[in-house]
Amino acid sequence: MAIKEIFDAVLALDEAQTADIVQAELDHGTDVMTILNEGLIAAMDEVGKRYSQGVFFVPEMLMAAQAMKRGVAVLHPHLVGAKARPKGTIVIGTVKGDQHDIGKNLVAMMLECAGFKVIDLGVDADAGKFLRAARKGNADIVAMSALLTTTMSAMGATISKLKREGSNPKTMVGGAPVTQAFADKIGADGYSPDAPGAVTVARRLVAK
Amino acid sequence: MKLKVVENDPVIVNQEQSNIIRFLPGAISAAPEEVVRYLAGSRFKEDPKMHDPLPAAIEQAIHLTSPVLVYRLNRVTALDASGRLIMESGLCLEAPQVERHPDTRYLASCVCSLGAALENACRRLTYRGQLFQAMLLDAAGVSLLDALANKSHELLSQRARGMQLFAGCPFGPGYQDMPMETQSLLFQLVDAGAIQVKLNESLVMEPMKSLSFFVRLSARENRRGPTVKCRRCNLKHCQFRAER
Repeated sequence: MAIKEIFDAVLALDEAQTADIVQAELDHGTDVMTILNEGLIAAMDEVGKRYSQGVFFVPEMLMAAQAMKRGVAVLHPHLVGAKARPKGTIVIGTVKGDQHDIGKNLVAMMLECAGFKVIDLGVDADAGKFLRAARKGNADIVAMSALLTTTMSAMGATISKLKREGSNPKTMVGGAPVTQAFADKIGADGYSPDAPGAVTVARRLVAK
Repeated sequence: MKLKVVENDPVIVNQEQSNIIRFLPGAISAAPEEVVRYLAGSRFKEDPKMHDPLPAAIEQAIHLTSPVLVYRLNRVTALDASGRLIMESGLCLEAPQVERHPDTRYLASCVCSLGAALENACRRLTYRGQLFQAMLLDAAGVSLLDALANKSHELLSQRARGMQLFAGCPFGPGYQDMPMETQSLLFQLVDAGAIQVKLNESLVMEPMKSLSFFVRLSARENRRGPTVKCRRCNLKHCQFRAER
């Protein structure tokens, strides 16, 4: 089954093979959305599972994502025709005063691989920036990252501003000093300690 | 408040001066296994797919960095009952438990940096969608920064020996029981601006590939606790912890 071969090629971290098999399947007439959902996105779900199990680590996640994106690039012209819709829209950024973005970039990548549209605000994003982006992008979720105890407080300020201004996206938070207890305290709708977990949380939040 | 007065020592130190040391290219290097640890954690078994990109990333990182250290020696006049080191300038530092020692003569306040070029390169790679390359380069940068901090400590230890003193282990804001807010004090004690390092309102250093730390210079050798940094750290479950 060629869809399984696409799935396996991504897990083998093989960009070239992934692209070749996706092209072969398109030439064969296989449905674009089937290739995307059951081949590529399903493979990244498995990557996330293996990361949680301690089988895959960050390098494998990154290389698998690159393979998956090569496959998506082959599909891209056909996705427009298939009127593929994202699973949801997520505004993501590192909060005000914080310049760290490695973890945030990893989460953004995994969310894109899961089929979400991601609007990345970069670093040092204040509450106003999150609010404007959420409104403009009609975001379903606002996701915030912070790496330091001195910058975490900006998450609470952003959530308060979103609520005060009548903006209703769900919110999720993450980063090294962030915990579930902190997320609960500031009124965030979700929290994840890692990138694959963030995908699970995002799916749960858009399903509500 | 009972103070233990520190004895005078014969070596005259110019406390007004922040000393700058610029390292030559190649003076700082990164071990591949350390880069892998910073990228993937200490449980990761290296993948053969890393064999080519890893050395290239290290070489690129070395090429992008301008390692520099600035430090200033502040004379310590007393250790009070609360564990604060009182300096001649009148400023005082609440030292971590393991660093409260009455033989402390000087407190070296240090900032070292790799400069901004490497993190700018990482950012460009990320914008181009090359996240793996960006993270690998960043991990190489972290390893180089760690090596720079070690080299800086070696130099301080040499300086201490020249003053017939002993250098303790580095300790810094946000580590062990030292609050992050101490960063402000550290930046008052040394001229980090002289090496283009600044502190933003959230106490984050810019460029980010910079480290700040204190080192005690003491009349007696009195390193308490393990000298391997990870073993002195409170984060027992850190995925990057060395020596599992």
